[in-house]
Amino acid sequence: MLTWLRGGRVIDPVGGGNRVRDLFIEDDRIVAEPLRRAVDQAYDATGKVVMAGGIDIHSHIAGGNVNTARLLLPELHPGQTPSSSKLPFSSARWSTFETGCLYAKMGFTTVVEPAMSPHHALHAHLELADTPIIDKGTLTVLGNDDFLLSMLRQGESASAIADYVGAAVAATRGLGVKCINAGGATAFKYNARAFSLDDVVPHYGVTSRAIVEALQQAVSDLKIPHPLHLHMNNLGIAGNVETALATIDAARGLPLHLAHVQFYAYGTEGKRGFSSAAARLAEAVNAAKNVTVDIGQVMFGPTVTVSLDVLRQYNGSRNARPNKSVIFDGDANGGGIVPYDYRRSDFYNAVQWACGLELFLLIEDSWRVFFTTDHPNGAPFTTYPDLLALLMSRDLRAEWLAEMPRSVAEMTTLGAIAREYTLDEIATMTRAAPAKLLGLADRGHLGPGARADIAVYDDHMDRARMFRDAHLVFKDGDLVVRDGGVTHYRAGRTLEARPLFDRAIERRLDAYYDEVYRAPRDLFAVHPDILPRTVRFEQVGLRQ
Amino acid sequence: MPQDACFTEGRLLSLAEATDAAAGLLAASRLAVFLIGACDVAGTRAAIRLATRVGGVIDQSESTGAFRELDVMRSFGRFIVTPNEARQRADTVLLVGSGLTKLWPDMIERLGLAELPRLGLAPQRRRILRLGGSADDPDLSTLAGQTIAAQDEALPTLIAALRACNAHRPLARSADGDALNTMAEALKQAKFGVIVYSPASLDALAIEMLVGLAADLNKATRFSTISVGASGNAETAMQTCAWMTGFPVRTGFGRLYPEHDPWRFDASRLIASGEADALICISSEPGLPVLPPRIPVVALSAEQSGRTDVKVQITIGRLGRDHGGVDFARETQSLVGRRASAAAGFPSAASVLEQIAERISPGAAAC
Repeated sequence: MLTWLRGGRVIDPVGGGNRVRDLFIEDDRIVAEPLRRAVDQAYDATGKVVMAGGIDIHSHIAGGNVNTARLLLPELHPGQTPSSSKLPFSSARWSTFETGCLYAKMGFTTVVEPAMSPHHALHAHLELADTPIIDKGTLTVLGNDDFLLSMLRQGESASAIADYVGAAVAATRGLGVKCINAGGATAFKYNARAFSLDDVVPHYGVTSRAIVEALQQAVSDLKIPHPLHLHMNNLGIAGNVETALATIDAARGLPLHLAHVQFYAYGTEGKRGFSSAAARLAEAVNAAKNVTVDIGQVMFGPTVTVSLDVLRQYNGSRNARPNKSVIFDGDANGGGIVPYDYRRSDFYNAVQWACGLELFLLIEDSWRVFFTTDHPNGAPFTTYPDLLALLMSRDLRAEWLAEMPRSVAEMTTLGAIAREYTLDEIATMTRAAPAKLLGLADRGHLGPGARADIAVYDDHMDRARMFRDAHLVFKDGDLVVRDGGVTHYRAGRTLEARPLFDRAIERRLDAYYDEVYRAPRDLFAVHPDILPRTVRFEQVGLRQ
Repeated sequence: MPQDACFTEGRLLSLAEATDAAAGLLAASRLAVFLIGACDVAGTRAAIRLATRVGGVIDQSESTGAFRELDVMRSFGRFIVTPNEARQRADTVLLVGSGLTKLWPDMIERLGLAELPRLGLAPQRRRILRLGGSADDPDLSTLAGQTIAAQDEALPTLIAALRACNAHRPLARSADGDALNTMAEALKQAKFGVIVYSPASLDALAIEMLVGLAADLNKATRFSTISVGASGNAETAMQTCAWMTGFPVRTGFGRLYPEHDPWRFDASRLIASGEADALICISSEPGLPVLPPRIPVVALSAEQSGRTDVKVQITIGRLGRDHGGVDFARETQSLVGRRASAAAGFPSAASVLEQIAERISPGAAAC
């Protein structure tokens, strides 16, 4: 089937620049303009903006902790909109089905769940199987697991550690590796209440820094495209910019992705001892070409924080809004689910909001800064259109800032920043750069051979309106959204890295599980034959 | 599939005839209740999908106990630890209530109560404390150090008093005062403590008091809790329903969007009140929930029930024997995979439910 998308302003930072042109889709791929072929269907995109499908590299959309949040907060998501029989559960608020639909409506076609505990991997994949339309990937969380920490204590080789990491990623079918407060969750089990980069995990005698370095090396050795995805120590604490700066140094020039850095951009100035240090952090990121970051922007309204950083979540539970939380000491990381309500009138929340925008605007290279709210931790992903509008308009930012406590402007540099994102930069940050970071060669661009994941937007001056309801969205060449409405479900793929490793480690792991967990390791493994029939895995090429 | 797998009112049916009969019964109903017992994730998904298609209600046979826990969580919060972590770390375990090993026969082994914690900083035997439940569980009596004997009815008062002792609040004079103070002191000495309780022995307020005790203890040391409640079956249904609909079971679909109401959508109440006019029971383990035989029942079960109220009986396979799949394991506190071991040819709950759905609205394929 040949589809003609006619006359849109196509924004493709990878190969096509920004110009009015036609696109052609043959089945699930973009193709060059065919000669002497009749098209099967045509869509007029005159006056519209055309981009590749959006890619979200960090959004907590599935897994045991997300599900606990659903169960903890029924009052957060009442719904009263009937679903059509063609789209069952699509109006069920906060269901996996609604998640897939809402992302598609905004023109996003690939989303990464960034916190999959190995022992809850099956759960995460089952939820993703019920998340329609979009393609998904997961990051396997390591760095608080007894097996790894014991390897480090015993001084095992980098290749042995790489084998272990490879086996964990393979068994869980992850797309990459995430480390969350390296050693911190384990230290919390020994009653540590704070844990920094050079603190030592009790019992194991290894530092957080050593864990990060080992995992960074293993990911590199395994040739997993996405660099180690790091949730640093000391999230959310005044003065934690020093931790972020030290962590950038600790990367030693090797590739490292730092997650939701807004939560690490805090200084200690002012009478409240809380200020924005975003400018310092942005300067360091600008200088460290090996580092990529996503922001984790705060937007205002009720939400819930869901994190495997159980130490941080316990400390944060005293500020829960409403006052209830779940603290889970799981195998390895566990997790904490703490509801929160970010308020415009709250000095601290408003500074957090400003910190995120400063980082977006002061980090110069839109190939190295990624668009996230750390859904749902900074805000639900449904706030993306409003956030894009803020990035594209200095006046809009000034309007918002004027409604906040005056002291907020004094503690940040936001008011002085003139930069406004262009549509080209938005396309880079939300399409081209994420595809490059994750190693997805056929996504994030609109050149021939690319997967036909395409978003077509009305070119409204109101950018929030433009990005909230796409005019058309194609997934694999299949029109799934028209005028902001999902037309039908289709099953997305699950992307996985499948690294190569010495499988001898598996016998050792089997014995370890029998002894330590008193259960076969296979109990936790993600086998396609026990997942719904609609699940399709797609292997992402390893780095050369 | 074995020949004697499906019946209606004593008459042998093929699977196609049986699913036709079930679909006809459902299509004619005004309010169908889907009551899930032991069922894997795939079967639960299929049941929830079918319930939405007919505007029915989804509930689970052990949900009354599960909601006692869930209500505490969503009004107050929870501290939870996996049995694996408890076995490896806990230097102090407080056992609360009766019937713990009856509810969880492997509890002593899974929690390693007679072993040294593998990941403790200083090797030492676990300190086992007991509050109530002294008359049963002789194995626990052998392991326990301090025991405060009590009937279940006395537990709410004792738990409140123990929490008060822990907080150095004055205690009304009572026979257990000294013992409670001693126990509170032992809890404070823990490096990683775990409170293990039987929700069957406790009401919601008492469970909340225990979680509050854990919260208080966490201010200075580490503490968490394990509930020896329902089997993993309730949790399989709770989890699956949560991601599909946003809500746990006791959710109805009559208005074409999920509504959650633990009272309104309680299967027992709906049947007793006459609001429900069809019941689908699903259990891949032997035994069906006992309910008043007032309405026609479609039974998808691992054995023939022999009940007179069952209009359509379809024998389904067992997870881990006839088919593979996923369910929630209490031992790991997670969803785990099971492989088929010796298939006898019975279909899975999911495949039967999908066939019924297909007969009700052909072509409405699952996404």
